[in-house]
Parts: sequence; structure tokens; C-alpha cells
Amino acid sequence: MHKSAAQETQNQSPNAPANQGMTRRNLLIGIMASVGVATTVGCVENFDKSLASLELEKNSHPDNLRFYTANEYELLSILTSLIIPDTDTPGALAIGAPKMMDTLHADWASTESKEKQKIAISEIKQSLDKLAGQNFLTAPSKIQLSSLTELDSQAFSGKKNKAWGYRSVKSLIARFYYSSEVGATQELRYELVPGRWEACIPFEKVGRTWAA
Amino acid sequence: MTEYDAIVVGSGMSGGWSAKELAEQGLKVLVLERGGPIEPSKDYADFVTPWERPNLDQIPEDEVKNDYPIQYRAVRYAMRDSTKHFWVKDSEHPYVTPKDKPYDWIRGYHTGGRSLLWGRQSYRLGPQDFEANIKDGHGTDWPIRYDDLKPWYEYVEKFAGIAGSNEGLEQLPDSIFQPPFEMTCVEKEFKKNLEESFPTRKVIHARVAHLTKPTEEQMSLGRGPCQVRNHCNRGCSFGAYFSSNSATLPAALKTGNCTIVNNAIVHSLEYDEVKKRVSGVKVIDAQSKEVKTYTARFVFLNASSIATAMILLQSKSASFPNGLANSSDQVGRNLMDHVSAAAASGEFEGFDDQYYYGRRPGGVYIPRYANITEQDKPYLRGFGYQGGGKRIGWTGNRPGIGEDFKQANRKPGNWQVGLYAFGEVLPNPENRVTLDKTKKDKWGLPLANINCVMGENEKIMMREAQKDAYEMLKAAGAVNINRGPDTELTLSLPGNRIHEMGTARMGRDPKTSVLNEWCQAHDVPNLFITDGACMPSGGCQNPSLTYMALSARAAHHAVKLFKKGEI
Repeated sequence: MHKSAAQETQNQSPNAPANQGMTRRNLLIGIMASVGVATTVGCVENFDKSLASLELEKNSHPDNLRFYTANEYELLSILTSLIIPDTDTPGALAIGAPKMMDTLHADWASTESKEKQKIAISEIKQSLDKLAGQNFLTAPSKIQLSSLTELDSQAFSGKKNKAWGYRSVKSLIARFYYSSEVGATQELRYELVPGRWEACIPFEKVGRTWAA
Repeated sequence: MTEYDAIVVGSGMSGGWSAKELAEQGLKVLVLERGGPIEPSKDYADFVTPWERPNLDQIPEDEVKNDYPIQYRAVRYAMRDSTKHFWVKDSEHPYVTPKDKPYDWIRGYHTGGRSLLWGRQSYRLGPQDFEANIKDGHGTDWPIRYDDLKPWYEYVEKFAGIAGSNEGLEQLPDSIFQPPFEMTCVEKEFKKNLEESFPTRKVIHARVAHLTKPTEEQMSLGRGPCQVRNHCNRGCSFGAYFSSNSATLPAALKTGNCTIVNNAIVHSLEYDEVKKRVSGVKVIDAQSKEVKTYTARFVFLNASSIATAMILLQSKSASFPNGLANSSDQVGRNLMDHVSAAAASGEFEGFDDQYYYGRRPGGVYIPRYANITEQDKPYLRGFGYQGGGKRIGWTGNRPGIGEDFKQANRKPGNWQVGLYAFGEVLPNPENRVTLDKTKKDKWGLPLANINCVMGENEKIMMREAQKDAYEMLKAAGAVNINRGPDTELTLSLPGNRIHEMGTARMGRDPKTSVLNEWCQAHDVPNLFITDGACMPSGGCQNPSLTYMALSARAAHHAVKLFKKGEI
């Protein structure tokens, strides 16, 4: 599923260095690819046009988003790209995690879960805006990174009572990522048919965590 | 003239065996299965990778709420969008319980029944299990002893294929084994430390119905060795774990003597007052609702404990106004399961450079020691622990973002050993299923009304099992044990272990039991019941292997009687 988007972005994923955030331009390319907006990095000459059309879609609920608003989707895309970035393997945005989450909430979630997800996203946005001291979405990538780093640290230090929203979104991003072909087979290890059981072998022989 | 020599009601764990044994001995056999057929190429989802199904292969939440609220509550680990067709829709198959006594009736209606879905843990009962009722007075005495069943365990194990190790334990006799799945290094450490600290306890390989060294006979049925995928609840295209679908039904069909009719919901058994025999099986077609009666010289009920009791209770006649073969009033009573609640896991240090390859379908087992090698327990009978040791995998629930987060998940987490108790539930005649007086299903059949609770012995046993689990982990060197010795426990709901038993028990006295030592109804000589209903007590071992042995044994006896013209 979502193979075309994932493959496309895998090959052409923005070269944002890990942990340094990504430029808004690259992020937008990633978002557009993951929602199926026809774009390639090779079409940079069309970038401004694409950007404009994305901005337009933002205001008119793009048809190819089925659950999130364009703003929510952008936030989720930034979170995704910062939490599990491209490194020596593609990251969670490249595999289309935000789009998968959009489909999940459109097709799988109950009304209650849909509402909870909206609240979670909204609370994350508020927290990040506060930490950034400005609109997180338009903040410089450095500020985005430092704000999210702080939010994550608060969420796991037990100081934040609203951490459930962030932690559940983070967990979901991880689930989609490590269940994806890239996450399971490139980032981690997966064998559909192991064929044999070896009870105790040096870790190096596997080298990474089993995805399943 | 009857249409068939024998009718087997149900195609699951025990029905598959009844059909195979009867057909292989030359009898014309009809298997009635209330669910639809299973086509492995279409129905099995064992080649689905994690990324090939949308929404993480989860069933939409509204669908769970509307159609599977009970099934999903009990077996969510096995229920995916790609496997939900293996489980009944609660919305289509309701039953009734008192408000304060919930019961989990967890099942699948299709060829093979729950043999396609079972946990595959396979343990013989031991001598003590056949003597427990007579010794402590709960339930009635088994009409057979371990030695009566031993050759039949051997018989079914050779065919089914059980991976395990010879241990020479009296309370948990060895099966005919194929090689076990080796223990992980941490399980070996756990075993060594635990057995040093508790000389009366043992840690052994889980015994599982998986082929690790298939025989010619098994391969001739199209079965192959286990591929160590641990996707068993999606079906197995390799036929590597035992199921009716992979083993007994193909063997039965190969004889040319066996016919399976799907979508055949048994309404009742018809009774001939003159011949004092069952004369036919009345069925409703699940789809067309057409009613039809099949006739045979004798009948095996293998519909599973609750359904078997329901069929008997529905089969009313002048001689049996309270249900067929129910002169004892024991039909539907003594409903048992196993009980769980006690569980703990702890981490083991010092093995971080070790890992494993493959997804093993089973771990370790701690056989019952209570009231066997250790006495003076504040409860009767005992429990065994299933368990295993493996490394914790990736998680999104950890601090950190970016490359650090990815790096952290690349390394597996700590080694962890978990223990999970399965305890015996005492037979109690008040735990029972009856026909609901007013409510009916969409085929016009009365709903099951299940009234069943766990008892005081079960509570005390689990409380003690929790203490033991903690102490054993601690003594074996575990750290960060997740549940302490005094953890407040909520007992598993009756039915939740999916080992329902006892609703037509065997016994020596027709006044207090439904079946004789051959699982033959005291009241009706051409009626046999070899599913869980026949069990006078449940032991603490997973029961399927015993159903297999009892079915094969009863089928051979029935053929003898059939050939002599006695049934």
C-alpha cells in the first residue's frame, strides 16, 4: 500500500540531515509526495507553483486528505519527519506515515477515536506553538527541532499531564514506520518465512532488532 | 436402511479425529459442519506481510463494537482484518448470561473449527488427573485411568506430530515427540537457576503440535516442517501445525468414505422410541434455512462442549423430555475452563550480545508441582505455567527523536522471561448451560444461557500462583519484575481460556453422569460424545491432545460395536 508514494519519496527524499530539522521547502515536497500530489524533486522549477497549490488546498480541504485538515497534516508531517527522519534509511515521512494515519482515521477509527486524535493533534500544536514562541508550522526548522525535542523530553519525564496525545501520536508514527517495508526490512530486520529456529546466536548475525 | 454408517457433528479438533478413525476403518461417514468451508488459498492470511494490509490490519473499531465485541475482547491478539472471518460475529451468534456473570464463548464456525485457531500446546493428562475427582470429592470419578488412555495418546501423537522433550515426569507423561524448539540462552539460564532454587519444580520445553521432523505419513498428507513464522492464527499453508484442515480431514477424505456438508446447523437428534436409538440428525441449512434429516447407524457429537450440550437439550422426546441422554440431569452442567490471572515477567541481564533467528511458536512450560512434588497447599489441584524468554522489540513509547530514536530501536531491548499460569477449575454442577426460555437465534433455535463463575479454589490458587511466579523469577535472577507477589488479581472470565469442558461428563454411574468409559451415552447406545463435553475434570493441561486421544479411542470402540451389530 502507498507503495508508489513511498518509493517515489524514497528515491528522491529530501536530504535533510538527521536531527537538524528540514527546510520547509523539502518538507512540503515530502508532504506533497505523500498525499499523492504530483511532484518530484526534479521538478523544482515547478516548486513555487506546487507550493502555491498546496497553500490553496490548505484552505479548501484537499480532496485527497480524508481526515486531517491541511494544517493538521502539515504538523503531522513535520512531527513524522523529525521523530523518524531520513538517515541512512528513509524515514517515516518518506514511507508515507502521515497519509497512512489519515487513511487509518478515515477508515478504521470510531467517532470517539477520531475526536481523540483531533484533540491530540490540537494539543500538540498548542504545546509546540508555546515552546516555539510562534506558529510552529512557520517557525524556522531549528526552532521546530528544539521545540519538539523539548516537548518529547517533557512527555517522557512525567512533568506534562497532557503527554498522552503526543505519546500516542508518536507511537502510531512508529507503528506505521516499523510495519512498513522500509522500516521492517531496511531499518530493522524481518523475515516473512524464517524457515528455521536458532535459539541463541551472536547479535551481530542479525545486527538489528526484529521488526516482528 | 440408513444413509450413512456414522454422522459426526462438528469438524474441529475432536470431530476431525472421529471422522478420520471411522472412515479409515471402512465406515461411510458424514461430517456436519455448521460453518462454511475453508479454502487455504483464499482464507489463510499467512503470507501477508505487515505492510501489505491497510490500517495495520486492524478491524475497524465500529465493526469490532458491532460485530465482535466479545470475540475481540478475548482474542484480539489473533483477530485482524485479514483473519476476522475465522471468528464468529457476536452480532449473529448471541448467547445469554446473567448480567453479573459474563462468560467468554470464543469460537469460529468453519471447517476445522478451533483446530485452526488453537494455541497448539499439547500435554497429556497425568495419572493424578484421572484420580483427582475420587480423591477430593469434587465431580464424579473418571471411569478410566491414565493407562487406559496412554496407548491412544501415543496413537494420536504419532499422527499429529508434537514437538517436545522427554522429561520422565510422572505428572506430565512424555509424548511421542519430534525434536523440540531449542530454548533461548536466557530460558536455559532461567531453567538452571530455577531448578537449583526449587528442586521440586522443572522448566521444560513447551510441547507444541508443530512438525519439526515430519514423518512419511505426515508428508503424504501435504504437511511440511514448521517454518517458524508464528503466524499460526492466520492459518498455515505449510500444514505445519496440527489442525483438522491440515491432518485429520485430509486423511478422512483420502479414504473416499467421508463426506463433509457445510452450513449444516444441527437442530436436534431424532430418537426412535422403539429401537431406543438415535435415528437421525435434523439440520437447518445456515443459508437457505432448509430443514433436512440425515440418518446413520450411530452419531458422534463433536460440536464443542456448549454446542453439544445445547443439541442434547434441544433433542426432546417422550423418553427424554429434558433432553436426549439426560436422565441424569447432568447435561449442560459442570461447565469448566481453565483459570488464569497469575502472571509476571522480569528482565535478565548479561546476554545483550545474544539474539535469535525465527519466530518460535512456543516457549517453555513449568509443569504442575502443587499437590504433586509439593504438598500442603491452601488449594486443591494445581496449575502449570506457560512462558518464554525473548528480547523486547522496538517501541514508539520511548523518549528521544531523530536519529537517536532510530538508533535506539535498532538495538533490541532487554531479555525478558514471562510466566503465565493456567489452573484447574473444579467441576461444579451449578456452572451450566441451559436453553434460554425466550430468546432464539435467526434460525429459530434457543440461545445458550450460560451461567458460570470461577470458584474460591480458583481464586486462592491464582493468588498463590502469583506469589510463586514472582518468587521463581526472583530466585532465577530476574530484575525489574513487573508484577509483585501481592498483585491484586482479576481472574480470567470463564470461557476466556477457550477450554470449555464438562457438559456431558463420563462416569461410572448412569445416575450421575452422561457417558460411559467409551464416551458412549449411558442412555443411548448409538450416541458418542468425544469433545470437551465428556471431561469429568479438566486437569490444568491444555486439553486438545486429550480430546484427540479420547476421540480415537471411542471411535475404535464404536467400530467394534458397529461390526458386531450392537449399534
